[in-house]
Amino acid sequence: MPDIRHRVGIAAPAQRVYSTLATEDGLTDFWTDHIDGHSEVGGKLSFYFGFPEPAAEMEVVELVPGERVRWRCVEGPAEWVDTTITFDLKDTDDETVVLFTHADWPAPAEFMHHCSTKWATFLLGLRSGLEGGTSTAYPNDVAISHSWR
Amino acid sequence: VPDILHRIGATDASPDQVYRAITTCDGVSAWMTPTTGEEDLGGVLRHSFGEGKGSVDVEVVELRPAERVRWSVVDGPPQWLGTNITFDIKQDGDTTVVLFRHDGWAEPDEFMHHCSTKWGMFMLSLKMLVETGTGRPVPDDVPIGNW
Repeated sequence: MPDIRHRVGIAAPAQRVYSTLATEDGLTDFWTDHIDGHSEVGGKLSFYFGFPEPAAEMEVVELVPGERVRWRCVEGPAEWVDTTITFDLKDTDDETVVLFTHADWPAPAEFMHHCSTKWATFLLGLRSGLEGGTSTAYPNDVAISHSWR
Repeated sequence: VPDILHRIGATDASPDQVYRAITTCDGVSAWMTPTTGEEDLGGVLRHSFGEGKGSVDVEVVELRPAERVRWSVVDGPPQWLGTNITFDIKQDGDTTVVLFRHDGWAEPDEFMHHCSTKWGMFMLSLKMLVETGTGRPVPDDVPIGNW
């Protein structure tokens, strides 16, 4: 099954990167400013992008402090359901490396191409926000096409 | 076999304009990295990433005006050898969509993750170039980490 993969290096301690990805408050600086739910193993997180209904609902399946955050999509775009999203953190000498995987897409459709580019912009926004710049969480996200946000 | 995929939509830019940006040395140098070589089918283009960063040589294996460009990697990092890079171009209303695919990777190692993110930034640079006249090629590219 096709996967989306990315890697960014962030000049911030792994624990700070982890806190951003593993807490509701942190996630509002990464993906979208409107989140419901609880970031705890077995808990669900709903992510809203300007509509009354969440665009995606994730079950939190793994939280390893300073090392890993993993979700499984339980509701959302048809192609996303049952895919998993993993953030693996690696503490190197001078930066924290984030290895991102959005795995198990049913097919490499055009929407998957779009999501790959979009995830790259969110991960760069994560880097920027943690390094003292601006975050690019929705609604301040980077537009990558006119036809699809 | 893992692939790198991307999609951008450039507003108020024609497929022809996008095609030229991908098929000429001047074009590629303005969104990716300084590029020299033979632009025609069967020619080899060299993308140079700057001192100490190496280069990649690609053979131009498919050219369909305003529709498709395909490169085959003939020299560069070992993980890139034998991989293919395809740009599919199509019009969607006032937007020209580019579907990008870098396929043929042997395994999804950390370098592949890095290249995926880097290609994403280059695709956004291509979008900027055709929309505004200015891209962010090497060495003004978006930093994504210490690699």
